[in-house]
Amino acid sequence: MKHFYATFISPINHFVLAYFVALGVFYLVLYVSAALEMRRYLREVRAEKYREILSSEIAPSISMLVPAYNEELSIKESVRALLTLTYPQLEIVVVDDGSTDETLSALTSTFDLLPTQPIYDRRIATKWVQAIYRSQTFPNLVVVSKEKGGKADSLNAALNISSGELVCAIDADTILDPDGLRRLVRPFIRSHDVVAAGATIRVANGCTVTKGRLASERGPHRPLAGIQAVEYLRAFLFGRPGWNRLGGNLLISGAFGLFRRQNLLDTNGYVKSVGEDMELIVRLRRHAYETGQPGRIEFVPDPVAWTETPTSFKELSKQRERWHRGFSDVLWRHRRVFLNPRYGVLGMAVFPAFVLFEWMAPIIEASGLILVTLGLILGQVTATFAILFFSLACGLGILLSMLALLLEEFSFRRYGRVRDRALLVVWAVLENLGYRQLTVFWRLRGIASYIRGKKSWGKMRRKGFVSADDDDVPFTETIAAASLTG
Amino acid sequence: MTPLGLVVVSLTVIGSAIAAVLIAVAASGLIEARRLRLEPGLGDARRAVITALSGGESKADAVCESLRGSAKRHIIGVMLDLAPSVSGTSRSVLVNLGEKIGVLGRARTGVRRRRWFSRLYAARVLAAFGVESEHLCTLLTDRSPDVRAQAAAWSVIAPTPQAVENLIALLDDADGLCRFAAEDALIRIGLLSTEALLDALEVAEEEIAGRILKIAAATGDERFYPRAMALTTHHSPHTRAMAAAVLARTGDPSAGPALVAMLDDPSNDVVLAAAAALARLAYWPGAADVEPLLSHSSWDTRKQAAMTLLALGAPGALLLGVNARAAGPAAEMATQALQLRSLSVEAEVS
Repeated sequence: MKHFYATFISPINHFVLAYFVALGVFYLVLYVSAALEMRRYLREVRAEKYREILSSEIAPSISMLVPAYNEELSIKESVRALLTLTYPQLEIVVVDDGSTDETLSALTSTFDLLPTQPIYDRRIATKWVQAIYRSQTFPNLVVVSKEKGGKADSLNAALNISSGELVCAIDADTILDPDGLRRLVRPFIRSHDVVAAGATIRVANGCTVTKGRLASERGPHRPLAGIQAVEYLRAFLFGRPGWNRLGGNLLISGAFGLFRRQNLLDTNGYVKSVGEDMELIVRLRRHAYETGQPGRIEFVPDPVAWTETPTSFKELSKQRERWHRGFSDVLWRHRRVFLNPRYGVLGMAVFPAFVLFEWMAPIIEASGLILVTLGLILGQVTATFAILFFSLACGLGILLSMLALLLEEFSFRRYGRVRDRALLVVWAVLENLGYRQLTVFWRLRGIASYIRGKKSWGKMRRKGFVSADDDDVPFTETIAAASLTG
Repeated sequence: MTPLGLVVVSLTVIGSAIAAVLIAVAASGLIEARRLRLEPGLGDARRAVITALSGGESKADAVCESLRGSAKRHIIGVMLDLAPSVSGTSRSVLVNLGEKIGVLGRARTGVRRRRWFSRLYAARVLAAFGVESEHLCTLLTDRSPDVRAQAAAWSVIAPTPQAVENLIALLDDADGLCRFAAEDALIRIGLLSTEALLDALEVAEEEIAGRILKIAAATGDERFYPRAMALTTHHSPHTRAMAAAVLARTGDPSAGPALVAMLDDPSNDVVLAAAAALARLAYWPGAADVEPLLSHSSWDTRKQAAMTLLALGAPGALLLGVNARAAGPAAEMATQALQLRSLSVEAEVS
């Protein structure tokens, strides 16, 4: 047995150690890139009020695409909040995807909807559109009623009907910063090569929401939400800006992303997938390389979309499993990109890094823990080594979270109270003592269920939303932070 | 190095890094907490500045005194928020306050600084307060695109001939934000920039000509009419399409025949622009020439043809009716347009 360990397991242990070192170096590079990117951005927007864009006749028009399914409880407030966004040429297209509750009635009575028959090109095939309504009170509000076809189908229907030069896909329950669109539109004005731009998603648990708007920005006080807040900070202040500088992002959250409509139409819009938001970005970038057309993806750190995160382990486990399943699906669909020089930085750096440091991370981490335990049992590894190894894994996690908190401290400080930010430090430490190991297990389950061929979203229950069966959940879950480290 | 050694070294490095980051985060938090305790908050700064604005010049000195303890960033933030929304006496009070507190003095120095972000910030402050500066024209040719774009937005308050000339030069800038800011500024400047734009249009190359015509279409100044008319036969399809847009915007129905002729243009973009222009001018004699476009191979052109016919009133509606009874794509588009019309009428009645 000892011979077996020395021959087979020990080299794997060395590999795991080498992986940890490589991971550390990779994150160091990512962090330095993120810090530089944030510094540049903060300098660029200091004292910027975006007033020129607000009142400009030539600012690009934007259509907000809002898919909704069984959201009668929240849809009125969500649409009201969208109507108060400050942007000059804004159209809001809400798609009721065959809701079985009173979503459409709620919209009709609140916004004085009347049937209309806009002439639009059905560029992307969708389920049957039963009726289109326009608000008499808010002429920029369009509501589409269609047969049930899922989130991607709803987004495609909205994409067909919308008229904006840019389209912004959001979840119905997402709360946007009032001037978020003005900030997010800037990369599109700056360069015609930009086809999509993503923004930061933050955890709204703990914040006070009044009439669809954020009344106070408070950090979560419960451990589960608090730890997720740290994860989101790490993903959006550390990973995304870092990738922005290193070679472009591979992920824009479906909860808040802005796209050039024409590019979405050219690539056939959204496809039905658990990770449709990530899939879309990879497809857009791939299409750009294949056709020689522009395909830059930008990340803008300060427009913020606030979202509610799961408050129970059960829901969280389903979410994380789904994210990693979606992530696996996207990587498999686009496997030809992997180490393919035809796709430039995407194929040779970004895609492999996502496979190696994001997709494989739970496999390696679990292997490391199992092998060290095995070595300990077989007497091949000393207790000191095992403890130090575990401390190293936790330490690296804590360091990454702390670095994200440092970036937050010296940049936006959106959780305004010092007490809230101090609490984030506590969550950053706690995250690595049990929670992270759980997420490894959930992500492994995601990979396993993908291999088994599970394609549905699974059941889900969240505060304020009514749950139902498979594929029968409100469209409020995206692969927002599939990559919570990078 | 043995695996154990490697782990120990890594752990030491990571532990030290965590300690350093913790100290930095804690120090920053403590400094912030102390500052919040000691200084009057943002609310007080807002109240003081608004008091100054409502009380006129008489209160400016007292307010200046009351603001002494407040953090500079609060005061500047409040002023920058308020500055673009006030005018007349209130603005001069605000500018006076800015001078007394030293915000504007520092900004005037700032526009000459070596670092691009210092120049950018200074230009933003001066632009927000609406203060003129002899450095404006220099900043329009700054090496930083962000500074150039900010200077372009700023130049609206003092559109000197030199500034307008620099703005026109910015239409050819490599940075999209600069081009956007210059186009936007020239539209805001409006009639004052027309002569310079017309001069530039004489010598402009294809892309720049398109941008100038876009500005002309937005301002709708009739002085562009003759030049736009001449450009309807330009070799570049983009320029021809933009010329059609300008003709529509100037609102002169005598452009009708030229626009009708453009419906036979080989470029679909030009056809679309001409049809849209005819709709805007409501040039009903062109209805019969628009009608064949209902059978065009491009969906966008068919849609524009239907919308144009709708906009041309009774003659257009009659032709849509005729086509709706026929077969093929023209019938489908005509039917949809007529349905749209009937729904609009219903909505108006209800």
